[in-house]
Amino acid sequence: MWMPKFKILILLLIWLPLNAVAESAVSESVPELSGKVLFEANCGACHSLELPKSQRLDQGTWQWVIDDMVDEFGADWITEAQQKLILEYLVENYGQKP
Amino acid sequence: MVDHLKRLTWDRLTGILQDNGAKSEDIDKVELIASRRTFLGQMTAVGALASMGLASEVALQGLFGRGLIPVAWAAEAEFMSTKTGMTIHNTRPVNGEFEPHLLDDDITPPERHFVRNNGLLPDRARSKDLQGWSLSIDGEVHNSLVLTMDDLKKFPAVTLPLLVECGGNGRANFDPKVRGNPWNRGAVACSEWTGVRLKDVLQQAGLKETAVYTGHYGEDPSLRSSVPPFSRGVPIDKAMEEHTLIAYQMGGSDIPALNGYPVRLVVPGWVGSCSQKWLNRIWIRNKEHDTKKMKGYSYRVPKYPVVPGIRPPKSDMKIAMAWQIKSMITRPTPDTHYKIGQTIDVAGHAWAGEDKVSQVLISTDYGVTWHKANLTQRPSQYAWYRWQTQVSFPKRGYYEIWARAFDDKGQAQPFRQPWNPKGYLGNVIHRIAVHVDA
Repeated sequence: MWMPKFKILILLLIWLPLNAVAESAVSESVPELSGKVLFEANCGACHSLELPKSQRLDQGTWQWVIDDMVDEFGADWITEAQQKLILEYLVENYGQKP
Repeated sequence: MVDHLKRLTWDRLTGILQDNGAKSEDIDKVELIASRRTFLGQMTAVGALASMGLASEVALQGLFGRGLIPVAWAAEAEFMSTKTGMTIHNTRPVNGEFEPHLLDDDITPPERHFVRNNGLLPDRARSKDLQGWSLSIDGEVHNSLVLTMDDLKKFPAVTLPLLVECGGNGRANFDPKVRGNPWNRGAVACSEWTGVRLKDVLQQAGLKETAVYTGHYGEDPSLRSSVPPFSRGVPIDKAMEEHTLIAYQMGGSDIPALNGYPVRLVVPGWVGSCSQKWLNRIWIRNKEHDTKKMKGYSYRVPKYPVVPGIRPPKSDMKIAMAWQIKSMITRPTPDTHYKIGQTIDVAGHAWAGEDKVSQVLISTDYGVTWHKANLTQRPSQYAWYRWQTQVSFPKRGYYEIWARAFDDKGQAQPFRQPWNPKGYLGNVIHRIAVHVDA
């Protein structure tokens, strides 16, 4: 029962980053991914997550980090909409606490 | 996502991967890392895959042979166990430091040398196989060189205690917080390095008049194969300075895998990124080295003091080079409890990049009064100095010991950390807590 659903999820997560066609084909059948899932799957693809989780940065600095990862460090498969969700997640969970 | 993976058996997973086009050799790689992880007792095979972000782009990059090699990640986990007591900031790439009280030795032993890596551990560092390794010297030279280890060892060998310090050491003390590994104070080491002078090798290659800068390259793979390798360089004068080494030993043994086996540069007193690890090429440039890690905000600081939290334009940034005056308290261990009147031995190191340390002052009353510590001369340039003193407290309570070093130009460590956007060259005074009980 769970296999087809799982397969779709695996397929989505595998193809979503690199293949816009595959993304659009499956995205109708699954709910939108949360900032947390996008952060873990996309950022964790290249580096471990201890470092981002140790940071406490304001929104502007997190935006700077994401821009660098996309523009300079090859994470160019992450769509702008996904970047926005990741940014919101990072600011909410790893932002600067007053 | 992880819940789904946990319900997967190994056979089902490999079946799905095969259905989706994975080659059997790629699946073998997954099996290898999974079994290594299990061997380390860290997690189950499926858990390991989930932690690798299997259900993500890595599945394509690694399993489908487009870049990352999962086996390399397992290697790093193995070698981290050689650094007992290291505070880990990140595991891929590996970044870790030791607390100051673990860095009391005048000569830092290899197992206490910090790790600041930008890419993955090269296969050669893991296997310790010199087959196929060579060091190329090319660019603005009369004779390009390709040196094997035997060739390199024909140059006169030198052994020196030399200080290497990550440019971001002290970043944790910046306010507002800045991005990057939150190094406290332990991304610094003064180990005994054996190698040959870079000067001797460059003289054999014969520098052209046009040689002004070096560009260093190593064999560590980038986290993503599409990203250019980490590469920085130094002005030719620093390259020709007689303490700048092409090193092949640390502490009398092979350089540890995580610190650059078989060969690395040691450019002492300057930001650590100049000291390329796993070195295999030095490109002599006719202009300032112009890779990404030399540009923008990488290893650069503002040309003028900036409002904390405000990032100036790129054109107002300059390359961070030599370290400035700095000290560290390595004894006692912070938060030790003492009796009233008990003599407490206080000691540590001081260093000053290209300059000399002239004195170290100690305060136990938040900087109201200071007394001079005994300063021992360093064994050679670019080693750190030892300082020591004794204190005692007549009343119970909470106290702080502060250390402040001065250089021979009259510059001292600041009481508050001047701010820059990426937290480089932090040298605010070091303070530790002690308790005196009734």
